[in-house]
Amino acid sequence: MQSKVIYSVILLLIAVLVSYFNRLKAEKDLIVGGIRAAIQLILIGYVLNYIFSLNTIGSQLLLLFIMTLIASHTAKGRAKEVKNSGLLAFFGIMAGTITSIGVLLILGIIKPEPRYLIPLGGMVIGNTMNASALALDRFYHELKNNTPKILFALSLGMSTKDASLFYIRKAIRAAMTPIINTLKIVGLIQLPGAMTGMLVAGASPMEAAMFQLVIMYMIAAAVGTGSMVALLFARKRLFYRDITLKL
Amino acid sequence: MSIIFRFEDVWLEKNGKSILKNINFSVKRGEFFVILGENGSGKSSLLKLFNRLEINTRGNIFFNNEKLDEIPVKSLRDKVVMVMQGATLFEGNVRRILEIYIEKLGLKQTPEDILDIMSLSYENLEKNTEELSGGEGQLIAIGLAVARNPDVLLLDEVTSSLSITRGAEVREKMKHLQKNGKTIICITHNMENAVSVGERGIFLQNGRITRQGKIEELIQCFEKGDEQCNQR
Ligand SMILES: Nc1ncnc2c1ncn2[C@@H]1O[C@H](COP(=O)(O)OP(=O)(O)OP(=O)(O)O)[C@@H](O)[C@H]1O
Ligand SMILES: [Mg+2]
Repeated sequence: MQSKVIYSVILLLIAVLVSYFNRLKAEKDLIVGGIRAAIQLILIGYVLNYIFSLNTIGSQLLLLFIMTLIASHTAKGRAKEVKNSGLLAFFGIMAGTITSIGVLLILGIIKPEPRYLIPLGGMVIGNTMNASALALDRFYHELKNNTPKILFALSLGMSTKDASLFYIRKAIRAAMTPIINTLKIVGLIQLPGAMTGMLVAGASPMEAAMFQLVIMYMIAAAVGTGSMVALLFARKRLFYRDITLKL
Repeated sequence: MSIIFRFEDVWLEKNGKSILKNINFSVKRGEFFVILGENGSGKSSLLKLFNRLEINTRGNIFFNNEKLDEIPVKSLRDKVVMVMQGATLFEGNVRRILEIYIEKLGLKQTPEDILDIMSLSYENLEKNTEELSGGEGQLIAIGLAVARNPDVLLLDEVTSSLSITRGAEVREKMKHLQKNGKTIICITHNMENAVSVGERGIFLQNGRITRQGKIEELIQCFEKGDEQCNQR
């Protein structure tokens, strides 16, 4: 199998040819991207190999923690206008990951082994990263666009919690919309990645489908708790105590 | 009359810019106080300082001889409420939204009671807050503020989106509240308004108070132009 993978380079070359004949000028990007993808995947393959062979809980948690840090940094770049968005996303990702993976572990659906923790953890972290960044960005803009409404509510004596409730809700909803949409159509148009992978690796279709279902539910829980936690911390930072807005 | 609000060398800075400088004045309990000045002179920013929607960077503000920042914000806003200009109600069905304000603020009134305060038709309850006209939204906001029964009402150009009759009604309402011991502090660009209701006031220019005193004197100063004001 492994030696034959090398031949798949032909597929990349086909894409390069498409670019060349249509004068897309994307040949260089495709080649650079192709090489980067190869290096990244081989590297992560080596790292995982090592972690799998160690098979200690500490090494797995360390890897997940590093992934969380990278994800927080990425989220920071996406919710630029929110001060400390990296830290806020970090809290969100931690909360989402611990909740969802935690429940799966407690219920015994997965075991604390690298073959579960690493891929599922990666999925949860990636999804909560997107959700937290989306929620923070949305919340900030809602507060900014609705400043007079919030100030009037505060002026009447409403707490910052009550005065921002509508906007917290909108932001969580925005963060959860992608997973809600996915839940509705999953499997109808294309098979999701994890399921595809399991089928290729020889699992039975039913087994793969069941596991995919677990993954979808896990992401829903993670995205919900993650965005909520990120927003609760964001509210503390976007308001000055219980007094006024501080955008 | 005793003093209800006192500003002592108050400054407000935002993004490194001094918006209010060396503000010194006081407001007496039960008076109708007017803040005048050109666009951008700092009137709205000053009004927001009264109930801490803005926080001064220097100086002290006293409410009933207590430092503003030592009063719990909740109890301050039980007594000092502000209405600003424009669409300031949360988005949604008017009845539903009013119920939310009533619940969260612990008010005794019903949504109908709130509309009664400025004699608005109950048909408005079935509208969406975004569908209300500028004036209707403004009148409901005034109704909410009055329903809170505060000691001090802060009004930022609340009559500028109202018709002549509605504007007059609001002024009457405010005068009536004043008669019942409330203190009214308002910003207006309308000189007739200012004269008809105001007693004392300040004139702001570039974030500084350039004149304060009886309303008639302030208005003369406004009409004569800025230079003459500065001479005093
Ligand atoms: N967040 C901010 N950052 C920087 N400057 C600000 C900010 N908010 C207000 N300003 C400036 O402060 C000044 C005073 O604004 P303010 O709204 O208090 O004026 P105003 O007297 O109420 O004007 P108007 O009559 O037009 O309502 C303006 O020059 C405005 O540009
Ligand atoms: Mg103003």
